[in-house]
Amino acid sequence: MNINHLVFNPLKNEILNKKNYLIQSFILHLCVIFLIYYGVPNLFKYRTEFLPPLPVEIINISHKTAAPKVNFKKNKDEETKKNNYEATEDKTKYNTQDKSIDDDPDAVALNKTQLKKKKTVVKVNKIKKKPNQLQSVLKSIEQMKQDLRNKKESKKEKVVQKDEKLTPDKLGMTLTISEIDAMRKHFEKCWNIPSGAREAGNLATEIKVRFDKEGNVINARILDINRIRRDTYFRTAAESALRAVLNPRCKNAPLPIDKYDKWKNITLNFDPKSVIGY
Amino acid sequence: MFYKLKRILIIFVFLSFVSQTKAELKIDITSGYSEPTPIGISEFISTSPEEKMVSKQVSNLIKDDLERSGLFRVIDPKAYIQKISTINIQPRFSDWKIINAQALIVGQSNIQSNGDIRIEFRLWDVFAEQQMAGWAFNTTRSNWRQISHRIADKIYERLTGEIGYFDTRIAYVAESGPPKQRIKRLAIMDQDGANHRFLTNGKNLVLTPRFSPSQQELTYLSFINRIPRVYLLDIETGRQEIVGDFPGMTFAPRFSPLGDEVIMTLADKGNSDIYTLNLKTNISKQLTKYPGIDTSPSYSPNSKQIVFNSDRGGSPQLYVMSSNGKNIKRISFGKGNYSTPVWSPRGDYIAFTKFHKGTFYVGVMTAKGKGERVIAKGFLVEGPTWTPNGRMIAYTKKDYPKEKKEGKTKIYLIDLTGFNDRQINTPLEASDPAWSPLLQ
Repeated sequence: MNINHLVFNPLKNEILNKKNYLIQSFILHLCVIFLIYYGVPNLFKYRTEFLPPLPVEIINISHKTAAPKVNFKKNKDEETKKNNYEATEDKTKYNTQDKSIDDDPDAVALNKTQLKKKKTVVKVNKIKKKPNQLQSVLKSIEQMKQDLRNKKESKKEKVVQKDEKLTPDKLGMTLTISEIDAMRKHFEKCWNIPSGAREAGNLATEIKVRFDKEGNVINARILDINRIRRDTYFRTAAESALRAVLNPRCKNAPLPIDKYDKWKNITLNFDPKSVIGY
Repeated sequence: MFYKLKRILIIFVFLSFVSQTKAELKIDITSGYSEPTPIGISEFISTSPEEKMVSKQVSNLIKDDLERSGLFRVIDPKAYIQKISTINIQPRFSDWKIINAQALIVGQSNIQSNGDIRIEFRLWDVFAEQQMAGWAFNTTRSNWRQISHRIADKIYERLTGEIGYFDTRIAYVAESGPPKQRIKRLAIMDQDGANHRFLTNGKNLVLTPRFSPSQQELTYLSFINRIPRVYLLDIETGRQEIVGDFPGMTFAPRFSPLGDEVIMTLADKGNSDIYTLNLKTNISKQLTKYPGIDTSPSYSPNSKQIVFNSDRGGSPQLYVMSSNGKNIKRISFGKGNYSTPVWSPRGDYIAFTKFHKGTFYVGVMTAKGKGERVIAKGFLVEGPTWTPNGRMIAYTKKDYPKEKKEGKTKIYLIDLTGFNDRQINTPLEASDPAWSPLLQ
């Protein structure tokens, strides 16, 4: 009688069976983890169809625009005016605020002016508050309100004056979307598209334009001169674009003079593709 | 070490250049308007009364040609501020800018000692303040019309980048009489309507005239003895002959781009297939073998492919095959029935007629069947033909019936993009236009 057959084989079988259980358990757990992670598939749900991609024009919005900064400044001033009687002793608060704004290098110039303004407000309040310390709280508040009303108007004027002095370099301003749109519309009304041109899908023309401060074109030139010489269709498209830029109807481009540095040199890309439908 | 420094320096210069270019604002202009370009045509300078007459004739014809193209509008001469006295000095651009002339044509005519006329002209870009072109033409006095068309062609070419087509002719079917006794005659005229004449007498019904590449012959369908057959007509001599000796009906003919073959449909025992016939050897070749209707073949300009109409897919659709009849591929997949395809001389588009839900359309699509666009629609619009530069399409248009009266049939010309739709004037009602190739 073979002992091996009696003793070892069952043992071996048992080990093998356990191994199988282990693998089965591992697979089962893996499935459970997958189900938890991805969820149970819904077989009765309609399959989502892949929609054709829609062309989207990507517009880069500048990190900082002029308008919110000016508003921010105004609001801050008003807040300080309203709370100036409380703010007299809170120099530290200003310091912490200033620090947080100082982190933004673009806004340094603005904040310095703000800080100066706030300091002057603080000084005025300090002087005014000394005699009020002996009076009732209500009275002091009334006086403070009156002072505020008197100073609001003069402060407003100062703010407006200071806003005008803000240069784009100080604010790090770029042209806003609406300003670029206005520019686009301005030249669209002067561009007579060469309809029916051959290979209209490949006739985009870049024109480098230099403006004076009144928005008039000083100089305009077609960038791809080499193609003009060898491609008559492109030449026609390019010349139509150049005529749009030089058209007397398109004088005085509607752009803010305080951002002249940003738009004195612009490249206009005239692309007839989307119009002609190629 | 020096090499490393040099590399770093180059990279630095490159990066600084990149950063500079990046900083400049770029605005995309993707919209505009499509209107005829306003241009000024100054009265051509002349001295003698005869020269003045020539000047007037030439400048008027140039004006008419350019305006008829739909791409230009000649500003009324009464609005001109500057009176041009010589063509050799720059015009005062500011005077022309005020009236919004985007281009200016100035010229002069001289009658030479041998009686010939010499016409010189210059084309100026008013906004860019530079000369775009300048030419001089010599010709006989009687040839003034052709030379004027040639000048208009030159101006058109310079301003649009396309080949001019003003020195060409149109063949068409002139229609007259009541609907039940309609008389249809072949007629031919210059593209501006001049030199009009009838080529057939109207005894037999005629359809689908098509020019040979040489412009000297027409192939067309005629019902002589009430049997529809394809014929050839010599335009100058008026001699006509039947094309091939086929057992059944032949129709829908067209020349191959080289002019040595006629491609057409042969209908025999209820089956229509496409055949070619070599005009020199008189050998015919069957291109399609399908037990249905294959018709309206048209060669691509390079002769390598043929577009045709077939009902093999269940309804009339457009198919493209190699010129040997192989590699048949369907290219139309829109709704409706497609017919009368014709390949553009530029090779980029195929024009066609479509019928869908009681309305006719004329449209274009690429040779691969993409980018289908309808450019005209109506009660009955059909039978497109291309101008030789492939930029415009002439087609037949029948008006809606009014008060139980049949609408009138006319020929219209429209831009490839669907702009500038306008009628081509003909003495009688007109259909089935065929535009000639360019005169060599």
